[in-house]
Amino acid sequence: MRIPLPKIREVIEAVGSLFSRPFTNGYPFKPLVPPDGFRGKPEYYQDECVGCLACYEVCPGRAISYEDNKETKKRTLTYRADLCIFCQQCEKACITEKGIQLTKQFELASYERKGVTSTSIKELVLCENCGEVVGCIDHLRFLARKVGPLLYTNPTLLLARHDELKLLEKERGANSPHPRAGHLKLLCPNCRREMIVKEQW
Amino acid sequence: MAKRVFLNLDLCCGCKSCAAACAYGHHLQSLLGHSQLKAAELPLHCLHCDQPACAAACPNEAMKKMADETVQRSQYRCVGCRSCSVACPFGVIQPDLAKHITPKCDLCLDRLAEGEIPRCVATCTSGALSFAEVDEQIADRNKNLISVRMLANFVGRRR
Amino acid sequence: MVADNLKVKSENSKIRNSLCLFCSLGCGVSLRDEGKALAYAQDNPVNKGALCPRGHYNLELVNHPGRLAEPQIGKRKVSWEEALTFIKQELQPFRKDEVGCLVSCLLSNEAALAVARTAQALGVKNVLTAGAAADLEAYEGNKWTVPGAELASLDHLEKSEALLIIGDILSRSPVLSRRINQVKYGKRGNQIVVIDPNQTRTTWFATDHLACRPGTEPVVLAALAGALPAEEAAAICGIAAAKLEQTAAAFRTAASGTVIYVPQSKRPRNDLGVYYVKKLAAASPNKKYLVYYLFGNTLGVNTVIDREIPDHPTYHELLGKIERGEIKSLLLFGEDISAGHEELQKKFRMLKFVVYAGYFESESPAIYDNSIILPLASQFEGGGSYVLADGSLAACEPIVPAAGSVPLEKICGLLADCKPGRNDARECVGQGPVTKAKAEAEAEGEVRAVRAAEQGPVKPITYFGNNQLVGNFFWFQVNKNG
Repeated sequence: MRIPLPKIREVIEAVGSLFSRPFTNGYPFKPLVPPDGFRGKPEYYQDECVGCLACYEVCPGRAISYEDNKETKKRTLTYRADLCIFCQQCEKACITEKGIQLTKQFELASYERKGVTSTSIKELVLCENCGEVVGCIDHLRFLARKVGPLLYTNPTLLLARHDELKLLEKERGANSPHPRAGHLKLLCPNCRREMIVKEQW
Repeated sequence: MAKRVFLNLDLCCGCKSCAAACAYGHHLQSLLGHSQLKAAELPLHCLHCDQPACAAACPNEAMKKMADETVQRSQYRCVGCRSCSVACPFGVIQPDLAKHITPKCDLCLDRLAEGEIPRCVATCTSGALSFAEVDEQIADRNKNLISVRMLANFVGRRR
Repeated sequence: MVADNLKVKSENSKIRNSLCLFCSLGCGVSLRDEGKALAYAQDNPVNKGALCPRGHYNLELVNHPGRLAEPQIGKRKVSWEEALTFIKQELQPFRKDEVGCLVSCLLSNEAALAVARTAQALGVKNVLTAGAAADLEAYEGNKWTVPGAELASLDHLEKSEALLIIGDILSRSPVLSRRINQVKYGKRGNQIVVIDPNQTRTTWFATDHLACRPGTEPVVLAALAGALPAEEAAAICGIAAAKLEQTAAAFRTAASGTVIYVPQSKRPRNDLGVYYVKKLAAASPNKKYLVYYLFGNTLGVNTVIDREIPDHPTYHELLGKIERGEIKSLLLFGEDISAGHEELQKKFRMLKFVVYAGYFESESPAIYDNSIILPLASQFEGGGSYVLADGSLAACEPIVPAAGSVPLEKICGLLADCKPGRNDARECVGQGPVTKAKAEAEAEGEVRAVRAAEQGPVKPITYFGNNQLVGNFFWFQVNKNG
């Protein structure tokens, strides 16, 4: 079938589109809003994160790393975008469910490979016996709230809770008149086991 | 009442053969914690508490009190957050992870299914470990049993 | 649900009994599913189901990926025919007395006999057993006859009222702890005396710990046996004379007793120790003695070799011959003693030809220019009979099909054709078996020698055996204290 005057139809289309609204958005000049469920860059929320390292354990791309500094008692969790595959495992595994969340941010180009990061810095608790890392103070407080009355079975959680409630005495342990005050200590699991076997010996 | 592993500290000679047997049964990783006391290294097992703090602390129900009154750990639910390790009142869940596994005594499920006793008890050289009913052991006050005292002190009898 | 699956699996499995040879206690070991899982022999009278960390190593011996399956020349795998032709060809230029032979103490009596007979057929006289140095030294002492000294059975040990333990028995044979506990908690007044310079697991269970100076255990034993005045001994060993006399009297007056001796490489003169242990056991009624060796069949292999080849050289004589170049070829059966032993390796490098029959490819034969490695069947594939510490004979049957490895009896049969060629063999000059009178005279003289050695420099300890393999046994660091 032969179309009459084909070029004129195209010219009319072109001239008409000069006066209609644009179909694409002017992305670099106007912000783009991704749809719901879009998996963008994960972001740490400092107040919600407890530093339990679940995100570090489940990350398949090793995009999350951590570093413990025993001198300053700080644990630094670092997310690197260049290794991330945006699988949302970290958000799924997060024990507070809000500590690390995927945002809709997708502009991750930078001049450096390690340029795009997100960090969470948490306060560490060291074992009062051996100096090893027990966990983050927020993690202990979170667990103390979560296990409810069972926290009275475990002095580590109990002390974390009392510390939060400002019930803790400044002087405890050696100077305490109580004979078994040494048991009320923030201990790592290995030291706690040793203390219990010693106590029963 | 379910059966548990008990340790008689007077008999234990600290040879760690329970740890060796455990390692052979659990992918070459011992689930027993040993504590150094003077010359001996004494094992402490998971007590399988009536109200387990590890199960309460677990975010994903990986630690669970089962119908047979043991506390078992589901490997595929675990995310490795170390909450159980921190929350355990006895420190028997080891904090160091191997292959994303938080090691935890399962009373040798495979051997129990065959009607046999757990590996650590079977291989104990000094007869210090025994696998017995909790009630029996509590009745036997003459023996200095670590687990009985702990059960009485910390967890309480379930009645 | 998991348990159900496992149950189905277990119905197909068979359990077969065998023996653990990692010390001379001889615990029963059960292997399930053709060696794929380790079970504990609950009906075995020796261990009653218990097994120490070293005993679990048995499983790795069965299905270790590094087990040899074919003969090797260096790293090259060859057929048996080619290997035998190679051995025949290489042994041709040596005289009969230029060939030495070392038999491991982990092998069975039958294997040791086969080696001895083959050596006789080949005309080789430099045959020696290879075990821990301390064990061999203790075995020398065991040969000195003391009238009235008897080996104790495990039942006697259980029922005895006094135990005298020299060394750290619970690190070497933890399975014995059940019986030691039985003595400790069995009857009021039972005594366990431990003579050890260190704080060990065994001293943990002792009612009395005699902490002597390191290396002076033979002197303490001599004092207890009455061969040395208590004052003299006290000056050497650092234990008060009154304490020694009191201990000796308590042991003498006990209704029944056992002396347990553990040879240790850090202790000089283990032979004297065993001699005085035997004297101590013979001195009072109803007292017996036990010597616990590190290698399972030390008693059996040594006895067989002593009986069959009475004029064999000692360990140091053999090494001297290798160093001087008098022995140019060596047949190593069971284990390569030079693995992890640099001085020995230096000496072994002077050898022109080495035949090594073993379970694993040793580290050191690779460095010999001309060596051949033959795959050897362990007790699980070959079976055999073993003499344990209490003198009892334990037999174990083959339970796992051998994957290419061959029992030593067969290897010896094949080697019988491979005679060293040159026939102008000189007679080896042996010293003959030690007589009773000579032994006693030597022993009395040796106390003074020990005392003299106290002032002089301490001799370096030679550990004769596969150090690395033994180190691997203690993968849970059981032997931390010595």
